[in-house]
This record gives sequence, structure tokens and C-alpha cells, in this order.
Amino acid sequence: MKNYLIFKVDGSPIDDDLNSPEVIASEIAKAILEDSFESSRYLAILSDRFGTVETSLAKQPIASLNLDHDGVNLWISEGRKIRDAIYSLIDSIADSYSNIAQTIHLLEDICHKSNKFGEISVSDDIDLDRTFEYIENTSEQQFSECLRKVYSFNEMEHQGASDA
Amino acid sequence: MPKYLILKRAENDPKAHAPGSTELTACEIAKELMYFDGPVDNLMAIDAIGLAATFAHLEDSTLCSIHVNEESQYVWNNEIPEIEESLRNFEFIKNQAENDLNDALRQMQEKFAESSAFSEIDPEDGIGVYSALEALGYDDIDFKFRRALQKQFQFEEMIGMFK
Repeated sequence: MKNYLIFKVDGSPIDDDLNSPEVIASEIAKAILEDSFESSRYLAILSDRFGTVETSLAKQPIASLNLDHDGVNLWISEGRKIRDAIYSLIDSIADSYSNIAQTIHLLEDICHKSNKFGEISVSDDIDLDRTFEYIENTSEQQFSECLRKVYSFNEMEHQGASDA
Repeated sequence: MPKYLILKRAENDPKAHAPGSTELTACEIAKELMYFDGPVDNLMAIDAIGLAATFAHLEDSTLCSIHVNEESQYVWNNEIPEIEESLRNFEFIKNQAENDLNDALRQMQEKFAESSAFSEIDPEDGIGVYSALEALGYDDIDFKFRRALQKQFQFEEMIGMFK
């Protein structure tokens, strides 16, 4: 079992091999940290190598995780698919909220413009924020908790650990 | 404001109200507010005062009464279609959101279920798309709009329509 150190970086170089343990370790870390922002980048370095590059790095690792051949295969065959499905749901929730909000504003504008139906206040009857609170999506959190165990993820607490 | 009684037109009656007339508008409004399932020409509007109206009352054939003048006719022709279209659009977008969210949720559930290591996770816990969006309040808005229409045109349903 190999241990990888995880760094949060700005625009890390993209590894050509999407199935390399380093890329996979960084993807797992991103999923565990529930960071679905496209622009967020993580970099994984085999902990054995850390000593040799430490002096050239301004950043400290934010976490570590264990990854072996089976762990790599598990992520490729199952983890990525689940992560993509979770991101699709997150996108779908955001799109739905945005589309409905836009439609409500349009309807409200039209009612307010009317001389006879201006008294209909759409936003009094429709509480979009509360509605979407009911659509509580805990899948990302549940997945993260499970990944933490499977890959023995260890978050490090030190000054500036969360800095990008 | 002129008041009209709305009746069902006899099947063998070839007449129809003239386009643009307040009588035709009264029938259109009645069709909408009564959820009348048929062409608007199957309805007729008569002046609420007069011999014909008296007979209609006596025959218990009046479906409803409606007030329409040129000003309210303008509202019906120019303001209401835009509101109705916007309401329909809102319902469409809400239904589309329900479908999209449920598709995304189902696909995610499938991925979890197919997994050997993560199948213990049940993502359905806490996600109630239909119940949440049903509670969004579309029906309240639709109801409020219909009530406003009834008030605007002083719509009154008659007991005859239930016989």
C-alpha cells in the first residue's frame, strides 16, 4: 500500500495518463473534500518522494491517502462513475433552481405590469429556496465518508493547509 | 358594465357571435372559468336583462353570468394571454425540472447499486424531488389567478349547470 500526499494547487499540470495513481489520488481527494468546482486542482505526490522535493515546494500537504493497485481499479471501475453521477445531480439541481427562478421572475414581472392582476404576488406563494432545501442531496457527503474509509484518507491540520 | 348570461347553444343553432364582440369574449371567459369542454361556439351569451334572460332563468338553463365591457375585453385579449402563457411556461419548467432531477437521481442510484464497494450508500435518503416541487406553490398561483379572473369579470356560476 502506497501513501500519497495531497496538495491543493493553482492550475497543476495535467498528467497525460488519467489512470496514473497520482491523478487518481488527486481525484479521490477532490471527491472526499466535496470540491466539485471544475477549477479546483489537486496534486498528489508519493510520500516517499516528498523528502526529495520538499525544499522546492511552498505549500504543505493538506491530506494523505493510501492507494494500491486494487484501490486504483476500484476508482476507475466504480468511483469515477459514481462521482460523475453525483456531479450530474448537483448540476441538475442547480439548473432546475435557476430555470424555475427565472420563470417565477418572468411571471411576477408580467403580473406586476398588468393593471388588473398586479395584486397577484407570485413570490408570496412560492418559496423556491425552501423548496430546494427539501431536495437535500447528501449523496456527495455519504460518498465522501465512504471514500475516507476505503482510502484511509487523513486530513492534515496545519497553518495554511486549506490555502490554494 | 354589461352583464351577460351564458347558455349552451342548441346543437341545431347555426349562429355564432361575431368576432370581436363582447358576447364572444363573454363566452370565451366562461369557457375558461367553467373548464367548459367544447368549442366556444357551443356557448352563447345573452343580455342579462330582457325577455330572453327571463326565459333562461325560468328554464334553469343559465350556466353562469359574466360582466364584460370594452375595457375588460381589452384586458382579456391583451393582458391575460401573456399571464396564462407565463403560467403554462412555469408549469412546464417545473415538470421538466422534476423529470431532469429524477433522471439524474435514478442514474446516480444505479451507479451506487452496481458498485461493490459503495452499494451500502442509499442516496435516496433525503432526496424527495416530487414532494418538494409539488409543494412549490404552482397550484396556489393558478388558483389565485383564476380567483382574480372571476373577480375581474364578476363571474358567477349558476345552479343550472349542475342539473
